[in-house]
Amino acid sequence: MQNNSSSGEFEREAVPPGQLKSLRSIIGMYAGEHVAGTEFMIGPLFIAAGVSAFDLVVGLFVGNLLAVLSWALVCAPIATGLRLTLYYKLERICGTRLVVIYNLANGALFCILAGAMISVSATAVGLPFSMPMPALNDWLPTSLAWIVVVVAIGAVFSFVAAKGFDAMARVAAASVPWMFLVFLACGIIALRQLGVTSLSDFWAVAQERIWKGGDPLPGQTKFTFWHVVFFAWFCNAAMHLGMADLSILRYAKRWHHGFASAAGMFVGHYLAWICASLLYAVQLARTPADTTVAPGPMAFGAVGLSGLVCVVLAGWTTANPTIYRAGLAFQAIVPSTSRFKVTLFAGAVATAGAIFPALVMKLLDFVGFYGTILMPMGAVIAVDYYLFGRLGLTSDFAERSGSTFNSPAGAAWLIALAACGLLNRFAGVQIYFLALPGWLTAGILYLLLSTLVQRRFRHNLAAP
Amino acid sequence: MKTVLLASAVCGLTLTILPAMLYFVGTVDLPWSQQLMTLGMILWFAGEVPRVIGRLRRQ
Repeated sequence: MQNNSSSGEFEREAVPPGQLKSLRSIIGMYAGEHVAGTEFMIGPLFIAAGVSAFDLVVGLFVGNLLAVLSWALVCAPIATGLRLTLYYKLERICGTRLVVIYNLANGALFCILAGAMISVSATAVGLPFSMPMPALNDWLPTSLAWIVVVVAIGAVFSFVAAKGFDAMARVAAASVPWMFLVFLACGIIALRQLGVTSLSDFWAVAQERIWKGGDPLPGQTKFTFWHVVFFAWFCNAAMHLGMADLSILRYAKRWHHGFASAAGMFVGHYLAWICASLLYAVQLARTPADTTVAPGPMAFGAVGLSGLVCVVLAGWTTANPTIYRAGLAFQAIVPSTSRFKVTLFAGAVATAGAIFPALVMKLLDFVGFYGTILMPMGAVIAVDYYLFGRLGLTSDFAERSGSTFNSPAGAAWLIALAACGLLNRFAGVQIYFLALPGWLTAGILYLLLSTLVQRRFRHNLAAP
Repeated sequence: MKTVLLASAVCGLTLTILPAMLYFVGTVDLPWSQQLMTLGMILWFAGEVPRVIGRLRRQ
């Protein structure tokens, strides 16, 4: 295998000590990554799910805290101990053929996520053209204008991602403080429009006019305290317990820099979600029959042109790297394909998905699904790192045995997913609660199956 | 020049959040606060984009 250190990304080697980043950089990275276009969707969907004020405010706090602890106590120690990317570590454990399957799943899910971001931006770009916005329960495109706007935005996002988006990424990073203040301004203005005139009014108005609890809107799942906690904890499951953020945290100087994820969680997934939620509460208070979740018009109504620009920028800045990462995942499957073409392909898939409003209107479900699919491989890495050495088992089994497909890892992943499917289908466990049992099942299975397999092949394993 | 750009960005950020606060306390109406926020956005990007481009050129 070729060593790619020349690209400066250390894809196939540990990050050298001289290249580690400061705590400030890590905080900036997390804050930027989690003030995204999709936050404008998730906040309103909580209200559509009939959540109560206590369940939202306290549930989000607890869920985000658990997410931060997952990053800091599980992911960051592995990242700073090995300083390798998720993909390279997985390749060493699972073998190249199993990683190809993982990349395919990862790339497809990234495309769907990017599609949701394109849809969010489309609600802002379409507003000046009086484009009809899709309703909460629409699955199919509702107008030709929607399709045209989505395709146009998707084409621009994909082209910029394919050409390499370094300049765009830097503008995006620089925009984060402004975007966050626009979110905050939306929340402050919405509070006033909902009748809050002082901080002491907030809780009463929150319970009576914003997060009233009760039945969800038609077609939506009812959210309780535990739904909010598990959603907030596992909406980025692929990143923390799924270990995708090994790629970021391997640059951290100390493991406790994993707590920097709190910047993303409590700025993006707490304040930004609450502010976006308030915008939707204003819309429902004015016109209860209008249940459309369209971030563009909602933000425009509160903060004017700044809101429209913020929605487009928040969608763009996160869709771009997501399309780029999807392209990289697909390129790993067919390495001879040019990165430009494969990124355009990923962008086309994302755009095709974005045409269907169901993708963004069912974002809460998709986020749960995304974590459930990818998280089990994080359990495989965690077991390999934390337990194998202590139990006398061999880490990086595929590399040491020369295997291209580590069957215990593959079986653990597939059986864990099948178990989650069965729990969902026959025990009625909702998708938001599947990630944790899936992760634990995969970890236990990988440990048991590896014990059996490594006993048989012990004499063939290469020395570390 | 660097100081002017930084001042523009800082003014932009201030004009993004301050009008919302003024609207909350009832000092300005909504159209006014929205126009001030638009001005804030222009100042922010006028200050920040050249700084980013400058950093990219230096690399």
